[in-house]
Amino acid sequence: MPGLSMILETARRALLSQQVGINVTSHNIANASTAGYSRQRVNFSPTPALWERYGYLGTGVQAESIGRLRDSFLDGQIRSTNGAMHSAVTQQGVLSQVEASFNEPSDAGLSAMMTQFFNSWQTLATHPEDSSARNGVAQQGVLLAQGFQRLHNELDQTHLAINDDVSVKIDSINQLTSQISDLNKRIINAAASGGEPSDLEDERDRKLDDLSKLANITFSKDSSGSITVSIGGMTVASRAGSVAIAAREAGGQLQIVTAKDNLQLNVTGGELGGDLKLYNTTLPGYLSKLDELANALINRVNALHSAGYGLGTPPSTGVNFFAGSSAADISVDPAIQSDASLIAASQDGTPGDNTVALAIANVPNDKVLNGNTLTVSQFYNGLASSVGSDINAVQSTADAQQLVLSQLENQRTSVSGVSLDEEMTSLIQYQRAYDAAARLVNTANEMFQTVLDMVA
Amino acid sequence: MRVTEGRIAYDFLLAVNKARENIVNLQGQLASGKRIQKVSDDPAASDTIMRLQAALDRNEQYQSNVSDAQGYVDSTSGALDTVNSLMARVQEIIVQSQNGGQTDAIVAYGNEVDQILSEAVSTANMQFNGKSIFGGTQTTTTPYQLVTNPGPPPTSTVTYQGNGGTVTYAVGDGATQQVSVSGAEAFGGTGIFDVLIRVRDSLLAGTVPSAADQAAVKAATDQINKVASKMGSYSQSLGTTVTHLEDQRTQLQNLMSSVRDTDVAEATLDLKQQELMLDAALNTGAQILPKSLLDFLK
Repeated sequence: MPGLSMILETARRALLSQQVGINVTSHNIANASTAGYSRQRVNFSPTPALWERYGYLGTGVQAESIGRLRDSFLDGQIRSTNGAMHSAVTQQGVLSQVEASFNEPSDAGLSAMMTQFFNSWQTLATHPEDSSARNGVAQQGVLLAQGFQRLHNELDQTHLAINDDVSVKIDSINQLTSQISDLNKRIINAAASGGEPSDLEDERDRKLDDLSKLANITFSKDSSGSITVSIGGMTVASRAGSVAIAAREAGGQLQIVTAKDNLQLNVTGGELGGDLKLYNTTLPGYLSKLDELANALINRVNALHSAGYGLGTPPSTGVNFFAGSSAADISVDPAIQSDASLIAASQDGTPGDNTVALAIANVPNDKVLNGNTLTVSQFYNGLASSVGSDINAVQSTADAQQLVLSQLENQRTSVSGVSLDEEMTSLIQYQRAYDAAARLVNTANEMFQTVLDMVA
Repeated sequence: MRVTEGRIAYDFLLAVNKARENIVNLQGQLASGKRIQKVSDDPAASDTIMRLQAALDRNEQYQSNVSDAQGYVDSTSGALDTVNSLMARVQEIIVQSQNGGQTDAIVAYGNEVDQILSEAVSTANMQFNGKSIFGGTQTTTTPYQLVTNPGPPPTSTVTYQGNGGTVTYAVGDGATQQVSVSGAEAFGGTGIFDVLIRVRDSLLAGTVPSAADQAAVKAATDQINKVASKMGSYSQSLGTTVTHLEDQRTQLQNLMSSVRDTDVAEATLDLKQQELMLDAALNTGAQILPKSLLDFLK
């Protein structure tokens, strides 16, 4: 037969349990704006009932555990979306710089420079014996060569700057993986001593989210609560510790390898994946096309030019107009720069003949690229607009992934986010329950008093 | 679905940002008057713009070529007209000398033909823009040299330093126009001057020029007329080319404008719409964001 003291005991447990509820509620409210915080909930359970002859008599409540509300399936989806989106966003940023370097369509881009260069040959064709027309051709040639070199240098700079960016990101990744394996150990220890370390798990999830923005990661959780993280098929963090990674350049290709054993990681996503794609494929592609264009232009103009005759007695011939062989080293032949009379406009050495000048002015209509199917301007326009299409492609990937991510984040906050309305409601519930439990203590007290009065 | 305060704030900011981004974009289009400012705005249209711009620049160059060509052709025609009228006078002189007269008068005709000879040679040496127009492609040397030994009787020789080449200008994509005629073609090299010298020498000697010389003068005049009418047709063709180039320019500019320029009416409407959406987002945010259960708890 339970005594009066049992009522008091039940009330005491109720008071304590509701207090735990209020504590957790206040923790939730306090962290309402904390990034990556998962709301926590107290799991209450009834304490074991006592068997009496009339049946089981309840003995009250206990706070069994404090758990966080988290959907680990969403975490996986968010992290893979993060990888795809941040790869696209990184590429978009760098490609926008490339686009600015091309500076098209404008009056200052390479397209306009090529037109002006060939127009200067037209002017020379109308005044082949005129030195000012010759100087005009030399000047426009110098401007065009500088235009090629400037664009090549800027693309080269952009290409090289990615290297720095990669090393910064690798530092971040190494830091994150070491923090994650550290958190793994602390979580295992905390769990072993019987607690559920929600805040540590939140922190580890935040680190994993950050890591998923940098590279394509896969992760799995084992029974001890430790998470094993892999990047591109290589384990980089586990309960055993983290594996540092490094960048290595081989044959112009940037590779990510483990720092110690030099094993290659297949990084395809995240900011690092975006950087690698830019460094290994996209930018070298632009640079080689630009070189191809410059080379075709140099060869075509030189072939026509060296067969022609300049002014002077006897007329000069066999002179190349351009020196160099690519966008990096194209320049107007120094001899021509110092003496424009070497410019060949004539095919027979007479000063009034303009056949060669006309032929060079007509180079924009010659199909000299892509297996003699494209003219220089068609080729260049194709290159410039391919930069635009590439930007649009990564932009639409980024937009689409952003939309998916936004949906997933929406679902995640709907599971894990703190709602103040909800917490206020819980607070009132707990407070009322606490009030009622206090009333129980009071009632028990009065009952004791009644019994004591009976004795007196 | 549970909706949290953080989510409401996030969605609100997303909507406001998107609206502002669109507004900035449209403002840029309206301010610059250009729909396409960088390749990624519309890669296909950018390609078209670059192509049209190059075509416009070339068109401008062709127009300048044509105006040079016209100058060239006109001065050639002018020179030919001058030589033509000189030759007409020589024909007159020959006819008059045949009508008989005093030896003095015939010698006077001879002096006039001498004048005509040097005038014809200096006309044949005429320059346009510093180029000898009848030198073929030897445009920097004086094509005709007249060397006269004062005598008496004076003897003269004319030599031709030019060649038979012609100058051609580009006046359109793949279109060229011959603008010059060489002394070799117009004057038969030194032929016309040799005839003039023979006529002069004969007149100065007091004899009537031979029938063969008279025929040669006539043939030379015919040749000049033929070349002059050829220059006339060049000039006419250049006139057509100018009209064509101007039409082409207008067309290219229209095309360019339709591809590149902002449709101001449309952009303004879009801008208004985006402003409305921003207002709506801000307004809703202002109403929803401050709402909480706390407002109603006493």
